[in-house]
Amino acid sequence: MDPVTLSLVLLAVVICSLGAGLWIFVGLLLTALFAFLVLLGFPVPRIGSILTPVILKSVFSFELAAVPLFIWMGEIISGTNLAAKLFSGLAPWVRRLPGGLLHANVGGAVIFSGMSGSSVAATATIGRVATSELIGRRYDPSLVYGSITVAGTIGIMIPPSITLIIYGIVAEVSVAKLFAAGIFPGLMLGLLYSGYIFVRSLINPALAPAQQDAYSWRQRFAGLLGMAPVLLLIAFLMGSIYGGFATPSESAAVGVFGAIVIARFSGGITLADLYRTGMNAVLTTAMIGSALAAAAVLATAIGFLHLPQMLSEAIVALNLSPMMLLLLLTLIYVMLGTVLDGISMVLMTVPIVLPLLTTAGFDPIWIGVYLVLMVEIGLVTPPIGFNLFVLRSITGVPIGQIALATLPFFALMLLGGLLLSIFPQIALWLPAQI
Amino acid sequence: EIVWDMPNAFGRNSSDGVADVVFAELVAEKTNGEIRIVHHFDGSLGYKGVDHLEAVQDGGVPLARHALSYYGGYDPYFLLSSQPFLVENVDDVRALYDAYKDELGKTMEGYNQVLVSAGLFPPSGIWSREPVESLADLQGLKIRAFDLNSLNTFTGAGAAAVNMNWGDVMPALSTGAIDAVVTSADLGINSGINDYLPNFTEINWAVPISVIAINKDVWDALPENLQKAVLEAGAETTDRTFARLATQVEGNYEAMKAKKVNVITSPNPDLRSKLVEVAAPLIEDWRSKVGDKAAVLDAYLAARGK
Amino acid sequence: MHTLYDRLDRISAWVARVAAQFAVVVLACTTLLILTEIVLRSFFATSTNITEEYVGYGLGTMVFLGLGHAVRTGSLVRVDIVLGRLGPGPRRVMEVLTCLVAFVVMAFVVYYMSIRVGRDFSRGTISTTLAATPIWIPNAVVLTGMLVFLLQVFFYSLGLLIGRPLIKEAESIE
Ligand code: NA
Ligand code: NA
Repeated sequence: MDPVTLSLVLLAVVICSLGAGLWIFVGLLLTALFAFLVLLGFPVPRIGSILTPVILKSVFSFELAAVPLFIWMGEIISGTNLAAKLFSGLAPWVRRLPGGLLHANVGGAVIFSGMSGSSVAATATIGRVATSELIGRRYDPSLVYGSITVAGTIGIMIPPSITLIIYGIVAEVSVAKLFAAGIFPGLMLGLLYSGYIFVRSLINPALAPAQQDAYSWRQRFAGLLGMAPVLLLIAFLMGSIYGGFATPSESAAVGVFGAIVIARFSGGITLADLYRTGMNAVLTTAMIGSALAAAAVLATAIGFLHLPQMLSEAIVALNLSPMMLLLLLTLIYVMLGTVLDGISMVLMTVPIVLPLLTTAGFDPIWIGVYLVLMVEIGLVTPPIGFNLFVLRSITGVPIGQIALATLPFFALMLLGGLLLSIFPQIALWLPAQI
Repeated sequence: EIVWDMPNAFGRNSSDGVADVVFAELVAEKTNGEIRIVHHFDGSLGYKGVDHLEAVQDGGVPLARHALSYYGGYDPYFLLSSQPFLVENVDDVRALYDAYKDELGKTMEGYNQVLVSAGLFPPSGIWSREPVESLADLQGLKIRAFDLNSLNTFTGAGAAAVNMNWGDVMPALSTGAIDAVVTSADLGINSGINDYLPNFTEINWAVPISVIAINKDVWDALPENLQKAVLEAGAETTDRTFARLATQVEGNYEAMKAKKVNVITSPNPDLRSKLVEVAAPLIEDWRSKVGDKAAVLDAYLAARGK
Repeated sequence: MHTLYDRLDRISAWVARVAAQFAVVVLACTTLLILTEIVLRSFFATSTNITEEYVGYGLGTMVFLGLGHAVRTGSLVRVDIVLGRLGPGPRRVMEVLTCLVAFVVMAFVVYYMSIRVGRDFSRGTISTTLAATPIWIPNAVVLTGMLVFLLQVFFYSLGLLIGRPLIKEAESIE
C-alpha cells in the first residue's frame, strides 16, 4: 500500500473507533490492533508481546509525573478561591483592553511555559484555574476554550521543553542553543493569540464583556493584594527552578507544596479538600495516561508499518525547492499529527526529515523550532489531540466543541510557521548571541 | 525479500548506530539483498533499551541491538564489560570479548536468541563546569551518575553523586542544580553538554560491550546460506567496530577541542587510583553474584597479564 | 436476580473507589518523595537515589488504579458526537457495544500482561538500581488496575442490559 493511502486508512479507523464513542484509550488500542492484525498481518502472540512493554514504558515515566502534580496544584488553587481573587485582581487593570481577562490565559500560559517542560501540564493547570472563572464572567466560551487549548502548547516551545531536549538528542544539536531559539517563537505565538483575541473583541465587544464601569484606585490596589498569594506561588516556583534547587519535572511537587501552604494561610484548606482535589487529579491522570499509553502502542504499529520512511522516500523523489519542500512537510506533519503523539513524531521523523531539510539549506536549530511548532499543531488537532482531551477532561465540554473553538487558533499556528519561514531570525538570533 | 525491523536505543550516529548501519549494509551485500534490515534508532519503535532482550526472545522483533549494561536485572553476568577500569585500550577490549563471547552466546541462547555481532561504547569521562584535575576537585561535586556502579563509585570517592532523569539533565545544568555529568565524550559533545560544562576529564571508566542477537526461531527458519552470510556480516561488523575505537576517541577529542572544550587526558593520578580503589569491592561483589562464570574475568586478566 | 446484580455492582464500584483512593495516597507519596529529593540534593549534597525510579512507578500506579473509578464517574473522556445524538434505545445498544469492544481489547492486554508478570516473578527480574526492585511488583499493580477496569466494564454493560441507568459524563462547568 502506498504511504498516503496507508495514512488515510489509519486515520479513517481512528475516526471511526473514536467517533463511535469508545473511550479514547480503547479506541486507540483498537486502531493499533487493526494495524498489527490487518495491515501488518502479525500473529496474535507477537502482538501481545509487543503491547505490554510499550504500555509499561509509557506509564512508568518520571517526566509524566509532573502532570498529576501540576493538575493537583491547579485543583488546589481553583478549589480555594485563590483563582477567583487572581482574576478579580487582574480585572480592573485590563478593563479597557479589548479581550480583557482572556489575555490572562495567554499570559499565564507563557509564564507557566518557563516552569514546565510539557504542554499537557500547562493546559491542565491554566485550564483548571481559568475556565470556570472566565465562563462565569460571561466571556465567549469558544474564545476561552480555544485560547487555553493553544496557549498551553507554548509550554514546549519556551524552555524548559522535553520536546526540544528529545530533538536535541536525536538531531545532535546543542540543547542550550535550542532552548535559546525557542524563546522568541514562543513569545511570538503568544502575541499572535493575544492579537487575535484583541481584534475579535474590538470588532465584537460582546465576546469579552466589560465587568464593571469603573474601579476606584482603592479597589484596584485591594485587588492586587488579593492576587498576592498566587503571585507569591509563581515566584516561589520560579525561584525553585532558576535558583538551581528543583528540575522542571520536580518543580510540580514544589508547586503542590506551595499551593497547600498558601491555601492554608489564605482561607484555609482541610484534609477533605486535599483528598477531593487529589482524587480529581488522579482521575484526569488516568484518562491522560491511558490515552498516552495507547497512543504509544499505535505509534509502534506505525513504526512497524515504516510509514515515516515511505513518506520521506516519496518526498525525496519529488526533488522540490526548499519552500515547496517545507510546505509539503508541513502538510504531512499536520496529517501525522492527527494520529501520532508529539514525542513519537519527533523520534520517528527527525532521522529522516533532518537530512532532507539541512540539504535544502535550513539550519538544524531552526528545524528544531519548526518541528516543535508541528508538534504543537498535533496537540490541538482531532482525533488524537492531547490538549483537546485534557481540556475535555477538566471542563466536561464536548471534544467537538473544543476542537471547533481551536480552529481559528490552528490557522494562527500555521501563520506562525509562515512567519518563522520568512523571518528565520526570530528563532536564530538569540542562539547566535551565546 | 525478508525484512527485519531492528530497534536500537541510541541514535544513528552513536557508536552502536554506526555499527548497525554497517551490519545492515554487509547483510544486504552478502545475502544479495535477500535480507533487508530497517533501522529504528533512538528507541523510536517504542521499546526501552532494557526491553530488547525479551522483545527478541518473544519474537516481537526479529533482532535487536542489545546494550548489555541494561540487563543486570536479568543476570549479573551481562554486566561484565560495564565493570569499571577493566580495560585500557582496544587490545584489552578485544581480549575481553574473546574470553567472554562463548559463554555470552550460551547465555543469550537461554533467551532464545543467537549472538551474531558485537560492538562497544566509547569510555565515559567527567564533564564538569570547573576543571576536575585531581581527587580534591571531586569532593562534594554534584555529579549525575549513569548507572549503579558509577553512582556507588563516585559517592565512595567523595562526590555528591545523584541519579537524575536524562530529560532533566540539561535544564538542571542550565540552572546549576548539578555541576557535572558522567558520560562519554561523543554523547556529551553531540547533545551540546559542552555549552554548560566546558571541561572533560578522561578517566576511561569502562568500554561497555553491546551485541546484535537474532531470534532463534527466525534464525532456524533461515536457509543455511543466509545463516552463513549473516554470521559473516556480523563478524566483519565486530572487527570494524572494534578497530574504529581508537580513531573514534581521537575524533571525539578533535571535535571537542574545536568547540573549545578543555580536555584533561592526564589528571592527577590520585583521582584514578581512588576511583579504582572504591570500585574494587564492586567487582568482587559482581564475582560473588555470577559464581563460576567469573572464570571468564580471570581468563581475561591472565591473558592481558593484569 | 436484580438485587443480586445490584449487590455485586456495588461491590465492584467499591473496589474501583478503593483502588483510586490508593492512587491518591500514591499521589501524595510521590509529592513527598520528590520534595525529599530536592531538599537532600540542595541542602545535604546527597540523594535518595530511588526518586526517578519510584516516581515512575507512582505515575503508572495512578494511571491504572484510577482507571476503573474514572469509568464509573464518567471522567474517562470519549468523543460524544454520535452518542450524544442517539435516542435512548439506540444509545443503550451503542453503549453496550462500546463496552463489549472495551472488554475484549482490555482482556487481550490483560492476558499478555499476566504472562509477563508471571515470567517477571519466576525469573526474579529486578531493576538495575540501588533499590533492586523486583519488576513483577509494579507490573502487577498495573495488571490489578486493568482487572479493576475490566470488572467495571463488565458490570456496567450487564446493568445496561437489565435497564440500569447510563453513566453520566462528567458535568460541564457553568
Ligand atoms: Na516550557
Ligand atoms: Na492531533
